[in-house]
Amino acid sequence: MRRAAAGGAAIALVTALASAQPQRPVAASTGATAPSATPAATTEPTASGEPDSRGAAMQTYGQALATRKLGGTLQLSLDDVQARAAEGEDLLRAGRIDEAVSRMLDLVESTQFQPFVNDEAGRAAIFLLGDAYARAGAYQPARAYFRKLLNQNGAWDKIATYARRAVRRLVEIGIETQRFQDAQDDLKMVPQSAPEETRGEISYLNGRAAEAKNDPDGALAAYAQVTQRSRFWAQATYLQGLIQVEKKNYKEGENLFCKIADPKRASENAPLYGDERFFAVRDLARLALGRVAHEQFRFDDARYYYYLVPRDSDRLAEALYEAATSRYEKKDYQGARELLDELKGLQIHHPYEDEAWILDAYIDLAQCKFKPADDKLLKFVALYEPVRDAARRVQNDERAMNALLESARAGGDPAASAEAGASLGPEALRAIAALVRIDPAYGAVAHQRAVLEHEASGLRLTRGSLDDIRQQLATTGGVRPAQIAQFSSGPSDDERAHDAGEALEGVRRLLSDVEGSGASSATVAPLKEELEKLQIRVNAARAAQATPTAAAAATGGKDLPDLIRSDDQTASSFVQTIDQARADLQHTENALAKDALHRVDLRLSRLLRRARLGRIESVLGRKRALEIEIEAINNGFLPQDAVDALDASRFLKDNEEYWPFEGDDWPDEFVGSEGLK
Amino acid sequence: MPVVRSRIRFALAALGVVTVSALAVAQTRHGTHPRHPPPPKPEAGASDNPYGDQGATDTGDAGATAPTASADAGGPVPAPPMLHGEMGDGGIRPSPLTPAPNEFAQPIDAGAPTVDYDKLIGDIASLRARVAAVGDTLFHSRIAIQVRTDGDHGRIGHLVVSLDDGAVYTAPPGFKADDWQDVYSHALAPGRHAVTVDVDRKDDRNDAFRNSQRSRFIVEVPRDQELGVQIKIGDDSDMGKDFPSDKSGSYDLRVRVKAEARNVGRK
Repeated sequence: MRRAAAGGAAIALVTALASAQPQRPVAASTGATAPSATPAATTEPTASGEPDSRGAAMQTYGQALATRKLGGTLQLSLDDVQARAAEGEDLLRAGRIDEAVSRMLDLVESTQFQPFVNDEAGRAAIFLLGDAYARAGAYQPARAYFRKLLNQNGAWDKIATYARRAVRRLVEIGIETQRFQDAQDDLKMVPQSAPEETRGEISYLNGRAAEAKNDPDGALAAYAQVTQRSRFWAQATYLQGLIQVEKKNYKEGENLFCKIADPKRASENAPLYGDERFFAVRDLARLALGRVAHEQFRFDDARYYYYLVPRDSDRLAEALYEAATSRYEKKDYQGARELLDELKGLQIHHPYEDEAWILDAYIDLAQCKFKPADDKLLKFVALYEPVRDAARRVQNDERAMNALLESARAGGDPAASAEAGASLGPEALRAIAALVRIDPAYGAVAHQRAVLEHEASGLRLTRGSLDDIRQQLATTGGVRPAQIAQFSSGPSDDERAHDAGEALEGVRRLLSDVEGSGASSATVAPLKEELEKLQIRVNAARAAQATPTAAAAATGGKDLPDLIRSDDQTASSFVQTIDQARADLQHTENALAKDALHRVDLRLSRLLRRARLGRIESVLGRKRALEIEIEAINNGFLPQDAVDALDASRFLKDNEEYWPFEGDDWPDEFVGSEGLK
Repeated sequence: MPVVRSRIRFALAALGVVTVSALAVAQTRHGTHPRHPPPPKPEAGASDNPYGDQGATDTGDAGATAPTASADAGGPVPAPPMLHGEMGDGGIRPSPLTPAPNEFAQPIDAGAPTVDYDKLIGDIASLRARVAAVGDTLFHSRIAIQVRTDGDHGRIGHLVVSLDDGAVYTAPPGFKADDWQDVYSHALAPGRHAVTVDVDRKDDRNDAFRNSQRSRFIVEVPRDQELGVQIKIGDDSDMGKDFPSDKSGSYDLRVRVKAEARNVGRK
């Protein structure tokens, strides 16, 4: 049961490993597309479909800038595209993701870029834009640009560098977001003639999708198509092994795990393509082999497999603990003790600290070392009972709870972040953080929240920039669009409203002059009344213009101020949506955090019960030992410690020496007595 | 299930053996003193399974049977049974270390989201990107921000550089820059702007000692010029070293900014 459950946990672990980013959170919703130039305060999840790159809005800006003769006038050359693509790659490498997005967007959505779309440099730029979006967490535009690459004519000609890279990123996005259907749709355009490793990527994605649909047979079939030329070969093989184990096909599962866990696989000549995650999967495979052997009572095999987990592995503590458990079950208590000592020797905090402590005490019990066992169990209860109580208390303080979990996830010091909010001792907080086993979904939600906060923060700068741009246009104005001035049939609404206002001001001045010239009020009053009516109409027209959608609709939203105004309104509309999204994520995060802490509570409660039972066992054991000792004394046998008490050498001080009695005559002290009896 | 049935049979058999043994021991107390049981001799070719032959081929939960007296206990005192848990499936006792099923993560129903997160992030990211691109085209003034870290024992846990309260650079975990590192370079409107540096640092000798600092600097970007802003994060804190032993230490985290305008050619 324990190992079956551990196998389930291992699935989650390899799932997380297979993803460069944490998994899609519970709160995630399906994607949707919409023109980005329109207000985007979406409040309802929409159906998935072809993603929108939102590049049309940038193209509109480009046209507006060109109309006003703003921006670069030089013709873009292939060298320029190559240089700017290289610049984008540098920015990405330096972690300047936002800058990379804006630079690549400016390039790719430029009208001058069109001739280079099918060149390698152009494809590189499109890929980098998609990659930058994906790194920023904006998966919809990222997918759109990758799809654009795959849709190009000749995308799979020659070595198809960027098509293959796009497939890899789309698969990664699919795994990260857990939206397998979207990713499979994106990859439908990949031809069957695609390279083997590319088909392996898609097969792996299909396998994950099948597993997500609870279709193990489909998953097995898909994983089986992942060859050693795929970077996912190890993951696919491991997951096949897990499915076989779930089906109780231990032999098949073991064979699959052995393919990965083979020590020779780590050599440079191994016929597979893997990245740094291969070694993590290999350690998981070795643990899985140990668990299967353990399940089948092949404890020596299990010990060997656990031993294969290298000392620099993150799984070493797990391997040592499980190996100790297997030795304990084999009744090799000394072996179990040595492994636990090795685990202690690591001097690291690990999620098995509490269980290892209990196992340690039970090994003492098994070896009839009742006093040490009782001492250990007593210490365990004294330490972990307050921790369990603290875990219960911290569940009632959402702020402290999230700070604690975030700290545990990020590897920080929980006492530094959560102590104030939870009014708990730092040691208790550290102990909870060490014990808590965080669900990958929690990490995914935390990642989403980080992305949201980054975007919300960047939005403040964007709104400031929009103000600056509007002021810039108002003061210098660039060059007025020639098209409107020369070819428009009449003045715009804006201009007409402005003209009407000016005309009313003129009329008001005239009336004032008329009143000043001594005209009767009866003459002026109707004119004033008419003027007020006109003023109301002009005000109404201006108010209607202030509504961005109305203005954009009236002018077509093609001029730069219209676009700026529209985007300003869009940015404003995001504020409320961001608050809603933040609340959603917070709600999910709280639910996951409470669940994690509740599980800590359950586990510690179980172990505390176990510790108390162990103490009872130790008392009973000591009682039984005394009974036997008394019985033996009654039968004329002295206990070993009583026999030892007769040994005079036990009572000597350090500076004393004991010479045992060897008779009255010491042979070496009488010369000539040699040989005499 | 055959496996469970076999395990039940074996458990019952083991229980019977233990019961009979206990009865036998109880009877001997009234007679002669108990003899030390001989150490069990491992049989040649014996299975690795201490629970008997069944386990090696049949699968099931390990530790499903009660162990008998310890072989190396040095006396007739039986080792405490390792199995104390509640009865599991089919009457098999689980290992004392077996977690309950509810200790594993279960899917959490946090309710339906009210916001399409992916669409929102995509919309904001694209809006930010195009506004930044337009600003880069319209403005000739620029700002170039560089960061450098200094200090032997200060580790930066979190570093965010913001411009006008909008994050423009978030450092990766474990950020360290021994030389000046470009973190942002962009066109912007001339005039006053706020550069904000949020930094969390901890001592690599004792990471319980950590401090956070938020520094905000107002800079003025001249028209048609590039303002180079150099942010130096120096750390001479000795809390991690001195306080645990001397109960005395100090935090000394300094964020210094140097700004220098230079001419930039019109694009």
